[in-house]
Amino acid sequence: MADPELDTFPVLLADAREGDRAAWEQFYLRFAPSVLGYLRSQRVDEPEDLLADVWLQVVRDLAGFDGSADGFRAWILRIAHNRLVDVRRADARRPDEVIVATLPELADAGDPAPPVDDQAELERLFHGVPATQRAVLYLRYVLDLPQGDIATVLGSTLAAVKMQQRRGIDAISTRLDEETDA
Amino acid sequence: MSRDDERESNVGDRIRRAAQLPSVDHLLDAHVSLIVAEQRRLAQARAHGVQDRAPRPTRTRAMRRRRTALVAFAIVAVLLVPALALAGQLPAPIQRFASRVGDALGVDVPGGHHESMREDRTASRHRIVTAAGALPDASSSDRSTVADGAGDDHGHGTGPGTTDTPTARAPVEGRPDDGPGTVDAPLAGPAEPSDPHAPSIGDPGTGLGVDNGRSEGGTGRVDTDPKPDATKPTQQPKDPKPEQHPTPGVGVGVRPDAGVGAGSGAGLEHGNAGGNSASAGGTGHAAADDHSAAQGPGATTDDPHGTGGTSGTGARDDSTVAHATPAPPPAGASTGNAVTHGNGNAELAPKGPDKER
Repeated sequence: MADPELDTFPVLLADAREGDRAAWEQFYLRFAPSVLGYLRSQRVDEPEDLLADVWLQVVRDLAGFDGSADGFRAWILRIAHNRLVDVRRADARRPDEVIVATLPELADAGDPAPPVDDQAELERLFHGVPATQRAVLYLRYVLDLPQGDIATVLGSTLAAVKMQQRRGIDAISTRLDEETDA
Repeated sequence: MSRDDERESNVGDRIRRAAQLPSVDHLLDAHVSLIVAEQRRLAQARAHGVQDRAPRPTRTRAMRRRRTALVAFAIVAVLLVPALALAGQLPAPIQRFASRVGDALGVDVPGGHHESMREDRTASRHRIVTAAGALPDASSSDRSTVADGAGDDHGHGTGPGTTDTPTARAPVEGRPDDGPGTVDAPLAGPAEPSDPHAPSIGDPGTGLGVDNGRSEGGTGRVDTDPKPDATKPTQQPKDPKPEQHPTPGVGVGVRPDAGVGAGSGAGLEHGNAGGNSASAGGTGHAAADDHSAAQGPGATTDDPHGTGGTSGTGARDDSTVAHATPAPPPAGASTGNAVTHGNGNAELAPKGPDKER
């Protein structure tokens, strides 16, 4: 049975293209949590800023989108993943160490912000799991995306997604077994 | 449920319980305002024709250098390759391709090494034909009196052309059943062949080819467009049935003509009598076959040119040797003495009467 909210998606999409703020708010409330959760699961430093960038890119490319609500979710997650890759590449080019003690406004900032409470348990499970496997597991078990859509989001293949999922499950299961034995 | 599926189910459930989608309420106003503002900006930019995409990156120095190098290479390739093709300096396969392209375009492009080799062969053949082809222009007496050149073992010999008459050429192509010895002289004097395509047409008085029993024979060709001499008898047509050709008697003559060039030759051609040319003072000899007896050119005393040997004989001998008999040089003969050596065996029975011309 189709979700009644999804049935309104074409109308909502048309209104958003016309610049209707209410339509954008509904879009945002429906899809932003998934994107933000995905970005947090990937341990981005500033996931909320990155979320804003993702939505700006959605606005720029919305004219070229054509699909359903599920397609839109996969599409916006693909944008988020691409932005995530860009951020990681940019971080890789930056110096590893930044002297922050000389900056008065940041001198007393202390350690980076601790993980959000709603992500603590997930961070514990994903501890030691590579980023790609974390992405696959989050998209598969939290956002309930099909493996084919996960491959689309990550720009990978279905076989690769299955392999990453299997390896992530094995890693987490092994570590949980070890903790139980201990 | 297998153990792997059970593990996957357990881990999946734990991930679902641990993960809670974050709240975005505190971001809603700020981000939606940002979205709407960006949308308005894009709309205004499109209305004013402003490019809303990021500009193309500035062309760097490396990009300019790379582009310059590419353009230079393209120019060189466009100009140099046709120039080399016209000069015929490209490698052979490319040159052949360029030649074909040139043919299609109507441009004369050398064909490369392959064509040059072919041209060389053609030129060589042309020289031979020219030497032989000069004979018809000569008088019959010349042809009968001057027999110079000696064939090699394969009948490829080209006469040196030491006299004022055209150099003859061993024209006979032997065949496997020709037996040893091929004649390069016409069967009956210096007559022109009746069949211009007949390969057995011998130049009168040309060098001989001594067949080695193989299929090799003289490769010389007489002029393909011979001028028949009505005053001379024509050559007998060749037997179209090779199997009927007997292995001819061999008259192998090696007759050096002193001072003039050796003109001799004996042997057979296609079962016809082999006859040597009678050079100056020489006598014709022949090996007989089943068709006719060969006569040396000018073998009779009534040789209108009076240049041939006076004692040319035609031998029709199925069993014995066709031989040549040296004769004293007659008056009016060309210079030099001819000493004819002829040997041959006619081994097959004749099929017809001897022919004398």
